Amino acid sequence: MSQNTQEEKFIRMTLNERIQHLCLLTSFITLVITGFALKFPEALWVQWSRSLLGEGAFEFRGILHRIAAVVMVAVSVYHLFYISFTPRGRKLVRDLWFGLSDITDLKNSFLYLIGRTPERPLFGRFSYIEKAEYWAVVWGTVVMGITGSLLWFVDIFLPVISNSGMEISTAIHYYEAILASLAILVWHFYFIIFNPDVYPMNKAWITGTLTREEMEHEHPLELEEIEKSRETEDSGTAELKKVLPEDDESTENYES
Amino acid sequence: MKDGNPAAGCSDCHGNHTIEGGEVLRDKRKRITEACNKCHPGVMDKYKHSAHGTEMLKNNPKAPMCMDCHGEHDIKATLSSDEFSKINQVEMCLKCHQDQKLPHKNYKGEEVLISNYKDSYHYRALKEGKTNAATCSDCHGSHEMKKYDDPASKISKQNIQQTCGQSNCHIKQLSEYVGSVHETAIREKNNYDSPNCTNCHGNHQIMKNNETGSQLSSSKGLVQLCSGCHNSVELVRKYNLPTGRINSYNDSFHGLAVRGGSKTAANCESCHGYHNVRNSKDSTSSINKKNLPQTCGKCHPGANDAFLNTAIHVTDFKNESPWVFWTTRFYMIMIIMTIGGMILHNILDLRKKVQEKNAKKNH
Repeated sequence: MSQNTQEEKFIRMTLNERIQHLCLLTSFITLVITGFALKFPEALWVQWSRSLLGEGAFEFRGILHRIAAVVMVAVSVYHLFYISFTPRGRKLVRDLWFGLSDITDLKNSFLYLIGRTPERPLFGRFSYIEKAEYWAVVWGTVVMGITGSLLWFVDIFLPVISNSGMEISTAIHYYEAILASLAILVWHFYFIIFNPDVYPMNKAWITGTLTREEMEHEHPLELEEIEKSRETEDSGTAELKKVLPEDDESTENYES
Repeated sequence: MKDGNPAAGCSDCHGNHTIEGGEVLRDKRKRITEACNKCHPGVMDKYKHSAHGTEMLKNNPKAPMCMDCHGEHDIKATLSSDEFSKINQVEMCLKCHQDQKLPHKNYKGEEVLISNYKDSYHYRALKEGKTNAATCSDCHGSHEMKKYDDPASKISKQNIQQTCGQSNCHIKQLSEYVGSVHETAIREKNNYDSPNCTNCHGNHQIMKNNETGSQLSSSKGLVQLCSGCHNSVELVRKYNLPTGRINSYNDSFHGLAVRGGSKTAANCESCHGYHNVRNSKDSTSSINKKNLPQTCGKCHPGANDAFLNTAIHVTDFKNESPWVFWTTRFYMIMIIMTIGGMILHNILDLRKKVQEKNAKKNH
């Protein structure tokens, strides 16, 4: 129960990041809908859309799919610049990088969930859960982008990769779409919607912030780091500022 | 009278001393046929062998005789008579052959009604004054009309393509059709399931290909038409046709596009042609390996040898398209394991959190 009217908020996603995420999610949903409409033309919802849109429904579907694809690729390219050339972006990739400790976290999570250990593993800024989401999207976007481009520009690539290349691209494009859609539904949507800790929805993608309680519960190690850096700042050690990203980035992790 | 030769006079039909009239006269069929036969033997011969004539000789009261079409006393020369104009003779035939009056049997032996000719493009063209369009006698003959299952009939399975392709009519289409795999099957193997003109275009109710009443006006309709035989388990088995053609097409991008409403994606005839469908081994076939670049090039410019390395209609992926087969299998396993693992993880997570919530409540 929050007694403070001015509850402390911690930045989870900056405005830039929230916009990137929004572009990603709208393009993803559009791609999924227009993509599966091609594969299942007799599905009821597809038939409805055809009667709604009339004559050019099929062509409209195709154009929408391609526009959304371009948006997704554009956001991805922007993101590449973001994580290469901005301090926050560079820190983002550093923090998302996975290693053996994440496998250990996964194992410890399982043991905790089945009741074998009494302690929950503690997570920093990104748990194995979020790292999995991020790198799955990276993988998916690359695979779908490449196969999608081969299929879209069929007249250019057909002489290069031949008919069997097209068939393989089609198969990959279809099954990767299934994998990606299911991963979003089953994994991402569980943790941001159906997870009892956040239900009905974790709003960080809109507001960009988390409360102290949320930080304590989900990212306790990150909270620890932030408080430590606050302390050292207060004690006036200017050197420490160089360890963290430049300028005001250190204050980006929290705001009151 | 006709240049000095005696045409039929009163006694030729009515007799001289035993003059008969009206109904009695009608019953004396032999008298009539002999009377007309005196001057019109060729026509009479045709008539006697026709379906009308054989019925008449059996004393069928419904069977038409000469005067039923040509009149009794006011017989006019057919070629200049208004009654026998291409569009007016239709009314004459429909007097008996319309709707409930006289059914006829189609090539399957089913009784159908000839009521739809007036909806056909042929009839509408005649009404617009295009006098080369087909009327009843163009296809059925004027005196020699025989039933479909009579091998000598102009509309028999073996003969109808010649009838449709007669001079002044669909000559080009006939020349395309002759030699095709469908036509050869009928002519050389007596395969009466193989399609000829009426199987795809209809007969009495023929529409132009681009009219919505025609099954050929849309890609979807066309695929359905070809599916009738090429997706029929019975016919595929009976004639050893290649299997899985329609299903493999429907799963391909072209098939999906057509099912989705595309008007430009390839359908059966885009690759196989329509009248001149030939086996891929035939060097003139649109789907012969040598000709594929040209056929596919109609829509995909610049694609040459690209097509030659794999079958288009794939029915056995494991052997014909192993890369696709194993990619699919790999992904299936990946999906089951990954998503399965995720579901398991989250069910456990949910369960644990619910447990914790309940534990808190109870304290």
